[in-house]
Amino acid sequence: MWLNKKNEWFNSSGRSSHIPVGLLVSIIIFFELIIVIGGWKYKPDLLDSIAIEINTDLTNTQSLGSVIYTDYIHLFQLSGMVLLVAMIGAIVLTFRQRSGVKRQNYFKQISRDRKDGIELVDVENNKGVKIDA
Amino acid sequence: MLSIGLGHYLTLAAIIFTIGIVGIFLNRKNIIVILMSIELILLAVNINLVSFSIFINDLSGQVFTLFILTVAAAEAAIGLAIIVVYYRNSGTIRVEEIDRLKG
Amino acid sequence: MENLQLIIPELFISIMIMFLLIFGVFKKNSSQLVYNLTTVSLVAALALIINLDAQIESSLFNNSYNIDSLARFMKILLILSGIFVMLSSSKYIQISKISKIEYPILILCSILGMMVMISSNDLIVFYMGLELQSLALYVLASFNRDNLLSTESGLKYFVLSALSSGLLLYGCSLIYGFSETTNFNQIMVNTKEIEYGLTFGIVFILVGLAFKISAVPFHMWAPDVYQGSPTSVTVFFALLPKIAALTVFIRFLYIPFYELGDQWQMIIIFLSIASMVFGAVAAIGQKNLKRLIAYSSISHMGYALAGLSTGTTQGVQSSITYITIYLVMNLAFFSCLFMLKRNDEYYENIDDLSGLSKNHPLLSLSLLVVLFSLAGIPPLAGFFAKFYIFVAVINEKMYFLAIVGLLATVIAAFYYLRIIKIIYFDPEKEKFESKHNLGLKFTLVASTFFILAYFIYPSGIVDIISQININ
Repeated sequence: MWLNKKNEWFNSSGRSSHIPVGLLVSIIIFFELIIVIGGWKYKPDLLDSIAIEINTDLTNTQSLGSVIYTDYIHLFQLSGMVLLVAMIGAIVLTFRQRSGVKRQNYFKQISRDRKDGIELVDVENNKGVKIDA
Repeated sequence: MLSIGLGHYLTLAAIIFTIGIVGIFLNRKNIIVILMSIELILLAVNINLVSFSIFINDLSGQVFTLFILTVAAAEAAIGLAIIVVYYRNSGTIRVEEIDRLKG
Repeated sequence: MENLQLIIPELFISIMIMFLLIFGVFKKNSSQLVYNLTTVSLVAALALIINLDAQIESSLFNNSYNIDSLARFMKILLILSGIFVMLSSSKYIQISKISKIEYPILILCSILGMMVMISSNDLIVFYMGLELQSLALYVLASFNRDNLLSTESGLKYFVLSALSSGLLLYGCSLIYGFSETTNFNQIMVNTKEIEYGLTFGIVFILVGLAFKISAVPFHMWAPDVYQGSPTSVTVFFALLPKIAALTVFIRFLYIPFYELGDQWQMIIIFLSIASMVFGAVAAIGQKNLKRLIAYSSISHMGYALAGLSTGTTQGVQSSITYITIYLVMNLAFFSCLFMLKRNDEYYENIDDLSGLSKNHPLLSLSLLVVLFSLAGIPPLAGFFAKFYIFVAVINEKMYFLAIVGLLATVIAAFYYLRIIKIIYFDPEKEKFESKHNLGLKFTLVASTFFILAYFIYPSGIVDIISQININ
């Protein structure tokens, strides 16, 4: 497992031992990518395959807008679903109702009226009043 | 004057991509760093796509970039949420301590 | 606009996602109801797909979304397995206290993503479908959020899957740059000559896809995630993403990269051999049944890739047959796993099966059938699945691949037979509960019956699959 400490990549005992190896591998990857890039050349014969040519009369934002809402509308809708999943996921994982925490309840506060708050009691002599009735 | 061409943009993207990969493999301290590295990889791809898009005069690469940005936002949200629940359960987000499941 | 009727199943599922979300939020304690409604809407989506005219082969949205025979068959397979997964795992979800309204909704979301992946004919559409699917799966894996193992498996799956998406995207950007288009058909036209950039793009994309399908050497997430996630999610992981990933594999290899066959064939053969051998060897020492089935599925994916590596239509069709039978076998296996319940606790270790045959003869018998079939012993369905693959491979004169595959089968048979020995010959343990809900029983009976009865009429499925044309 890559994330385990038993793995050689993350072996904590040999703190310095894996760094040179990792750097070597990454340098190799990097130079391979550079070689790849060097091979790129403009191919004018492929011009007819281009889906949406950039129109220089419009601003970039305008032309992007004009394709996103037409040619790519299905992807636009789908990215809405992706964001919905992100929202549901974040809420379902992290939201929790703690018990024993006192919160304000606005509706309860506003809809309180005189009857709930004040009670008139006839106090008998030498008896006192039971408060938490 | 040195004129900046496609090669320069692509080299920049390759550098960022490599940094992202290195960040994931060499990091043993903190999961958040891995999250940042993933973000770096996606940004490297975006640079690649935009520069290709300009140099072949085709808009679809830029549209692709916009969608990748959306997905990156969603991925960051879910990634952070998972890290939060993991931290609640284990009390740590050190990479080397994530080993309850034997690999 | 009349083409819009071709994506009615997708539209229906998206609308149901939103409807069920609102319904579940406004009606208190409705998680079970939402779960059942989700199952019903999957059935309805299945009906909608079957109802579409099978003759129509069309592509929508500027040729970026394909409705063809491959997409149709795979979607039917996908939704059918979705229904059976929902049926078999409903009790488990209640007992393990992950019964929330979001659970079935996330399952629907990932199924929607998989349907988009299956139909995609464009790099952008493919990527969006993939992300919709995997974002929902990250959450599902860590859904049991108070359980350390579940959250850890979610975290591991998230990190490795996001990394693989990144690699895949870098490959997509290289392909886009060098072929100057994102459309699959157009890529095939534009990649007549081989360039470094294209080769690298293919390698990056294949690495990303191998992650998703859990092929060796990109398999390391699978055992941990299978073991850590709730079993109801594990069965989902074991079945549905494999269908989508295999379809995408077929599409990539046989449409955009078809001309570059020499470039990818060796990679696929390597992935296939490594998966078959490693999956078989690593499963031997396992103690946890979910971990064992993870290695077993790695090995099975190796066989499916072997079919793809031939580069012929026959090979692809044998792979599709293989994945179909694989789905049924895994469904039966997980149904048995759901039945190992005692006092509201589920058991998932191999030791817990010890002496099962004394107390539960029927359950042991179906486990016996499933394990024999997974091992590929005739005349069960698993044997035919492997048989088709070997025929396709040998027809292409790839004898080395065939020999390695046979050897891996022999190694794999060892650990399947070990479980059977434990069930039938080891000392018996306490009895498990024998009362189960109807959906679970139905799933087990139907899938076991399929495995047993396949040899009577094998051409039934083969005929349907042989009508799928790839190009």
